[in-house]
Amino acid sequence: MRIAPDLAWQVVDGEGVIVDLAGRRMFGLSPSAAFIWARIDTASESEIAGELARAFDVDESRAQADVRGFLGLLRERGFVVAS
Amino acid sequence: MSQRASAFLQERALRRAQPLSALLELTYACNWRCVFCYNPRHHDKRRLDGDEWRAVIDDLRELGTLNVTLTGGEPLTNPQAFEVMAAVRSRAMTFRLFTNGSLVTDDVARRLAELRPVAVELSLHGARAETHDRTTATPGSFDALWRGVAALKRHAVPTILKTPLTRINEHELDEMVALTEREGIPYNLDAMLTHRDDGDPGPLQFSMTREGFARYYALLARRNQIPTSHRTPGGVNCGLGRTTLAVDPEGFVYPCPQWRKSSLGNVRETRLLHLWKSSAVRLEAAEVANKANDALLAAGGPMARFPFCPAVAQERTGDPVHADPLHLAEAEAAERARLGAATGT
Repeated sequence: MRIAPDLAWQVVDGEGVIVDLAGRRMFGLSPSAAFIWARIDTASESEIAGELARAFDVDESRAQADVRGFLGLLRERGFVVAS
Repeated sequence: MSQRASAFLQERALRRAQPLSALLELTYACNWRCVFCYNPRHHDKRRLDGDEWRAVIDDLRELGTLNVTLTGGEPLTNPQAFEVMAAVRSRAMTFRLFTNGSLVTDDVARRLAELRPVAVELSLHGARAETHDRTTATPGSFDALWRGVAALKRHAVPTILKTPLTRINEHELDEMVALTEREGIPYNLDAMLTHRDDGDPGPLQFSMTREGFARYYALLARRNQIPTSHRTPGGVNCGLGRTTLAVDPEGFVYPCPQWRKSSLGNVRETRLLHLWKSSAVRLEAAEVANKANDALLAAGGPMARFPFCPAVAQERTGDPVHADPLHLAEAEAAERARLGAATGT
């Protein structure tokens, strides 16, 4: 899984911004979403969940559900693709 | 990007001194000779190579840059231009290309389309070939521009035309607006000419006349587009030293595209990452942005709410904090146009 090539993105003061260059739209990400997003290219789903749980002080099962849900949404929108 | 989203991002980046935008000048070389050009020369002494640009781009990513503008000179005269553009995109940043259009063939437009620039921006220097070519001092440049625009259109590359207004083309303002509307191309105007980057004031002799400024601001007023700055006590005038930086063709780094008084250093000697984080020049420039904000608010009048460029004021008078006579004249012209539009006079 990796971030789709037609996107640009950056984290600004803890929050994320995604620019969809094909659709010419921009999206904002909350701090937890930005945290997950910034790790998509370099970590597995379970690794991201573990880091999220530690960084945001939530239990691991909740973090796993959040990461799974968010990645599912990103796949639906075509923002992440199979690597 | 919506203006509201941009303002939100800008505010966040200001707080962290995160250079959200970067201007990379790929070369001084250019195949045109625009009479008001701000570049000090048309050749490179020792241009950054592909590896050096890639290192700059890696550091920009790490510093938090999102938007990169590639310019020159004419950037497409640099054989490594596409390498640089690809590197920017591979690091998940956007790019915008400033070009005169003369080297935009169908093949170039196709390659650009694949890289998905936010926009390719080209300068229209007149509604008629004679005016355009006189400004560029290059016969045939008007036709070359439109050939480039046509190629970009064929490949659906987002294209913007823009005009640096001068006393050579100011009389064709309405015609240029009509021409770009007819072609269906977004169009921007720029009224401010600057000194050359080496301090030579030569380009200023081509600044618009008083009548030209009045016509320009009347047009903006009719469109409700008079530029405004919302200054607050203790705020900053602009992103100088905080949210923007520039790298010239030979690797010198500046705290904004206009500020050439002093550089942060050269990326050949010190990584951009370190220059940005530790440069006293950057901190001094950032402080100028604070002082200018406070000085303009304290002075009141139209300049209190009109955009101000400390770098341009620095070049004009040696004082980057207070409005110079040309800034003041512009702000007053804008105010008159605003009032005229409001009262129908």
